Amino acid sequence: MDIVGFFGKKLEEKTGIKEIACKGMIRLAFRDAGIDSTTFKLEDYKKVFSDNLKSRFEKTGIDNPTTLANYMISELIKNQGLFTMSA
Amino acid sequence: MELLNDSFVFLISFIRGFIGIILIIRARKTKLTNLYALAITIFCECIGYLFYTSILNNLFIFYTFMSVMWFPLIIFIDKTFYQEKKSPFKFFLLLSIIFAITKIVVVGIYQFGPIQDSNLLFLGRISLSIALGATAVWLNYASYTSYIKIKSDKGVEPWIKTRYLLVIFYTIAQIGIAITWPFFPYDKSINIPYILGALSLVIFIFAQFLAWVMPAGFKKWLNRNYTLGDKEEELSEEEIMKSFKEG
Repeated sequence: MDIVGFFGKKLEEKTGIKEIACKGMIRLAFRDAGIDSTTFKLEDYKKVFSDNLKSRFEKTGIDNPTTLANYMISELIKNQGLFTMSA
Repeated sequence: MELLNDSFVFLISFIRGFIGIILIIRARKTKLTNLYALAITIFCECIGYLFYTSILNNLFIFYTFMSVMWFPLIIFIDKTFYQEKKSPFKFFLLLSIIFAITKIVVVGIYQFGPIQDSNLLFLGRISLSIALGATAVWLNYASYTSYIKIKSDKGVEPWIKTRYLLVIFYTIAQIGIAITWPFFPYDKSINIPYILGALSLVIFIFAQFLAWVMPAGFKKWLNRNYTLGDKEEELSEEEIMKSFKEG
């Protein structure tokens, strides 16, 4: 399963920005962190969302980058079962 | 009758051992350590069952394995659904410790003590049933609440949703086993609770097999109406950043 796609969709729902760009943004954050985006690890995702994705949000000047990153982390925690269920 | 019981137990042990091996392979591949915990639970059960046959007949070893198996199972549930969330892990850990000690002590007294009182064995069975039932309820609840969040999400493939449903389903069967187990006959003959328990066990193992082994043909069939969509082109870094800047 495309877990990046799943969270890209969540980001699209929150920001209204096209899904393709949201997915791309998450992939860029993974690239910045030097972590493989096909990882099944919650801690990797959390690190990427809290550091790299937030930093990317800040660079774009989007409103409330911290709130947005926290939203992504809360969605991650809520849906953590997916990592095991899609393995 | 013993031959029938033994054949049944060997068969389910073999299937469960196979599920455990598949989980180990998957855990190595995905680096999901919680799957090791689930595999250890299954191996404990698998080995424990063998001591419930007339060949290896040893209730003390059977109950010891059945006591140890809960610890990796509650770790699995906690690591799968409750990381960085409020979790009843400590409660279930305490429950598992209490009932593990109870089971081992009473069955130890029954097997090695001077008096073979069937009330002791009944107490051991009740302890096993409570631990089994409580953990099944927890796994059922955790899976169900997670499933609710993704059930209408089109991005989640049908086979993954089915895996959630199978876990929900097999934990219900597990509760059925927990309810009937204390009333199994002591002489390994067959009575109504035994039939219902055995039926629940077969359903449990079949659903667990489908959930965790998920044969390729079954997975393909579940995804038969699912389309991933056309391979979409990826945007360049500049385009992505621009999309976000423009909001």
